[in-house]
Amino acid sequence: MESGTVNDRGEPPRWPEALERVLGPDEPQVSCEECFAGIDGYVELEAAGVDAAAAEPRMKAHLDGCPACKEEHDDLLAFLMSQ
Amino acid sequence: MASAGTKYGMALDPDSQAWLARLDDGGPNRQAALEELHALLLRAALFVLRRRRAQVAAFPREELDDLAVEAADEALMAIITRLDEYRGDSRFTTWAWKFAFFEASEAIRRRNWMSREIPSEDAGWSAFAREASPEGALEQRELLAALRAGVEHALTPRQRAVFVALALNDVPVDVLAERMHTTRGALYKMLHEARSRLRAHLAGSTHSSPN
Repeated sequence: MESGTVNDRGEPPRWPEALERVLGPDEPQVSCEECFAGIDGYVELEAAGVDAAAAEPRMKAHLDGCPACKEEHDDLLAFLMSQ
Repeated sequence: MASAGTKYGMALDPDSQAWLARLDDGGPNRQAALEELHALLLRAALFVLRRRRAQVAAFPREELDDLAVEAADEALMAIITRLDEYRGDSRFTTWAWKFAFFEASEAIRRRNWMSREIPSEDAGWSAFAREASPEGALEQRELLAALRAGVEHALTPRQRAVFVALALNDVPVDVLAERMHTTRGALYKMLHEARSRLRAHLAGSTHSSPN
């Protein structure tokens, strides 16, 4: 195989988990600054049981690709849920 | 300051309105509000430290207390400076707390990497190879070789350094930003561009050379 090209059936490659992690999400996403600006509204949607990922897919994609923003998101959400 | 039309179409709640009014007050109300807000921020910072117990296990107790107070101080300063950015998309306290989480998390990550060198590219590839599952080992090796070729040929030197540090070696983005004298946002944008180039390289759909 050369450079992980499409397979014989013309399908795109299915990356193993480790490769998915280092390559990050392929979807459009917000920047770290935009993520910070919107994270409070996003976690309140989640805390209210709303599907925030569906409402804000570009936020979700960023959180999947940026461990630092994800860490802060997880802390804030856990804190809100503990109140 | 927040207007009636918030992002999610919700009216500003009475508590948030009260916070804004007190912080807008020139007199003793403002000072009391600032002290109350600092206490809320300190509680949030301490929550982060407790939640990240494993990461802060080696920190001396006094240092933990200092770190929490510093994070609350920094958060309060940021809130005062950026109060006009509050749009009412969340309760005011949630908006304020995110500053404390940001400051505390960054402080922990920076403290954890204070005396550590950024790992080498070889270390990153070794760590990545160890993640390979026993099943499909041949395919894994081929993908690894393709990825290495992509990193070598499809990225600019700076994109390569950023990708290796952030994606392969799991260096926190704020730690790397500090060492490269740039911002977290700029580094993440570069990582995103590098990842896009590598995806294209792996899919065999581009043969362009780096700018």
